[in-house]
Amino acid sequence: MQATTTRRPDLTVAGARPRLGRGADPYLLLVPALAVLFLVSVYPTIYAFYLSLTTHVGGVNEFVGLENYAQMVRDPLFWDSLRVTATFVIGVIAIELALGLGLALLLNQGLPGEWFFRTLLVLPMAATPIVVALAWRIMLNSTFGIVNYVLGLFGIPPQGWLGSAQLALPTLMLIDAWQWTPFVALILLAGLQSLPRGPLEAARLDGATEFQVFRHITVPLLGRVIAIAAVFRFVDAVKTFDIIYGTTGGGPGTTTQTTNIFSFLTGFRWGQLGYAAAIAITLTFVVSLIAARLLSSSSD
Amino acid sequence: MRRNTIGALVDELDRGRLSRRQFLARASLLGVSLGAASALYAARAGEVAAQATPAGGAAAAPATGNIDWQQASGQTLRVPMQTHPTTTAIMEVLPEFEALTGIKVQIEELDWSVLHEKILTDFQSGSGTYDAVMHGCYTTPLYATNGWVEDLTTYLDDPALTDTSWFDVDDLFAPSRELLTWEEGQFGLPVYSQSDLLYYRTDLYESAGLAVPETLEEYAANAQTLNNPPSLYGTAMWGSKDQSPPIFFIYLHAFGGEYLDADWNPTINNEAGVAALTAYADILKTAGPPGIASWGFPETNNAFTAALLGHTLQATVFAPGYQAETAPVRGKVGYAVTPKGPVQRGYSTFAMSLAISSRTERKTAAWLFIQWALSKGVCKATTLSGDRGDSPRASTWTDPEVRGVWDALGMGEWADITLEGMSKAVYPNASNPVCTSFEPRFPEYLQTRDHLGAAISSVLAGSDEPKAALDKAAQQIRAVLEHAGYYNASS
Repeated sequence: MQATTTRRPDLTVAGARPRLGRGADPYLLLVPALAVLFLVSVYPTIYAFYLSLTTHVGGVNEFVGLENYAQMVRDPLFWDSLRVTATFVIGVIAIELALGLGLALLLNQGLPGEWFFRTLLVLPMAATPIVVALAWRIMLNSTFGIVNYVLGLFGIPPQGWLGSAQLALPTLMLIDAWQWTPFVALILLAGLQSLPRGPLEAARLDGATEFQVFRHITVPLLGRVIAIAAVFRFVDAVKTFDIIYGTTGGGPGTTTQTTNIFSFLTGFRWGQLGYAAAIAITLTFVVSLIAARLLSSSSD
Repeated sequence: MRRNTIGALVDELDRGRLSRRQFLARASLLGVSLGAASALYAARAGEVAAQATPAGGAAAAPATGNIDWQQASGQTLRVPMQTHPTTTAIMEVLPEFEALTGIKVQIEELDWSVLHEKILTDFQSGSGTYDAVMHGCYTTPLYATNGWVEDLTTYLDDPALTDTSWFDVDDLFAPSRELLTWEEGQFGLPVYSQSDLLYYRTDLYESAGLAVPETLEEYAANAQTLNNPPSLYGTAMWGSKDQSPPIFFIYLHAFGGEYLDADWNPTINNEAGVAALTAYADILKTAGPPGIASWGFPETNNAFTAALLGHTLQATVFAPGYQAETAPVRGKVGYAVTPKGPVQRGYSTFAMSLAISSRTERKTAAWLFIQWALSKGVCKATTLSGDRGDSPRASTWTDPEVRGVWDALGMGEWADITLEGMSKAVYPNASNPVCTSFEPRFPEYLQTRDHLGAAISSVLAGSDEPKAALDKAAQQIRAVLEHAGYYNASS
């Protein structure tokens, strides 16, 4: 007891510990978060980049510089996969924004039972994507699937949804829209509910029709929120894996082989981890660039 | 200490721990005949005062070979295996192995489509999670060249590890063992073996007055005759990108085509290749279900079982499933040898392998498991109890008890056709040593095969003509081989 009481004033007099503490504490508090971020995000990315400069030969990694990237640029399958990815991403964003905005407007009317529908909307998002894929694969089966059965009641002949070059990619877009439109709707609904009442009421008083209010007041005011929803969906749609892998696996042919699927096949099926890493790094880079661009242009 | 006596098994049964299937399989492993085991089960399960003493049936030869089975006792193995009737049947008799050896086996059941991908990830990352693996024969060259799996020759030759006369490696089908070799080494042993055959609906054949097709042309004509969508489609065969190649190879051989020439140049797009793909696509487009380009064996199998197809040309292993008591096609399935093409009959074979990971420290335990799982006793017991019809051992197929069960289900012909298909699936060609087996064998094969699969499915999906699709595939196959250094002038 005696010893501690005599030592304490010494430290206070020196003044070093409190000052150091005040300066370092915030950083110390950040350490756990930074460590997690480093372990789960930074380190894997750096390691993937290192892998992309190597090739696996007879059980060892051999450094090959940028050869994997050179191979990628010459590979028609890579360019084909980029085209598929772009079509898929643009398609799903367009469908989900249009349907999402409609749903958000509906839910913003204060209709009875709104809470119920809002809860219902969360369900598709909560489902595991691979389960969603397998469920749709069964429902879309051309001989015993329920989709063709229901269409058959209206005299529409059975369709090969996942096995047709024309239908496969649009079908995947619809599955994605089924799962992710609610997400867009909820973001837009939050945006709608935070809009200032003033301009809307002023426009109505001035005799604007509901469509004019929507077109000239609501949509412009909502611009920022729409952009954020679009960026979220853009980043996620590029990464879509389970829904495609679990239904078509990239087929028929390569009609649904997105860059993400192509990279997966290359690394985990064909055993070329280095080449797969090069594709993944390139994709990450391109996605980050476009997302940053979208975000900055929406804040202007 | 050892629990595996018929008495212990009956005790387990009495305590209600075993199903009929499990009891029959494990009793068979202990050397009890099927008839005796059935009677014993009936007596016990029916709670008839069991006068039939266990000893009555158990007078049989020792079921295990003469080595020290306890030499790796206490270890635990992790083994990824395909979700498959064979795996289920082996899992049902695993308690016998654990009692015999003191080794625990954790089997991780994985769907066909992810099995290779999970194993490859484990091997590439060097994490060494798996001790033994089950994988398709076409990945043997890839795993062997990378040094990921063990050459089993040393294990087979070591008397401390293998009772040679009891294990009788020569009884495992030679064509299947051949598929699992690479450069003089035996890098796995077959856990199941199969071929392909034509399944047709006997009831529909009878009412339409059709004759069993001898040629692929007659098969196509019969399929078109039966085709009556949407309640019945003439036929279905695998059309998806990752699963179509093995069935297409039957057509390719039948038309005299080849994958590569002697200098590794792709020849898949030559006249014979294009004719084969044209025929394959024609029958499926005129008499197959819509969306066939996304169909693999689950779809084909479900549709045939549900009586939605007039034919299917696919793996022999599915036959026992069609005779299951709940199957709508039970008793209405006919079996025929794969029809002939213009050049020859496209006999086929395929094997799944059990192999030991080179990274594991539990190699002895892994080998004991493989030796036991592929033994005559286990192959027979699991065939008698389960839905499997793919034993890799000749002795199972000639066993009178097994034949008795199959004959009762009308599957005798199926068994003969399967054996014929497997044994004849070799394509010797003195001028082209590259492609002498049913599917070519080299480390990059799976990647090139996926390019062929994409071509087949794009034709079936209607987005490409056979010639254009195969030209593209040939180009992609060439790019893969070029990158791997097959055309380097120096070598």
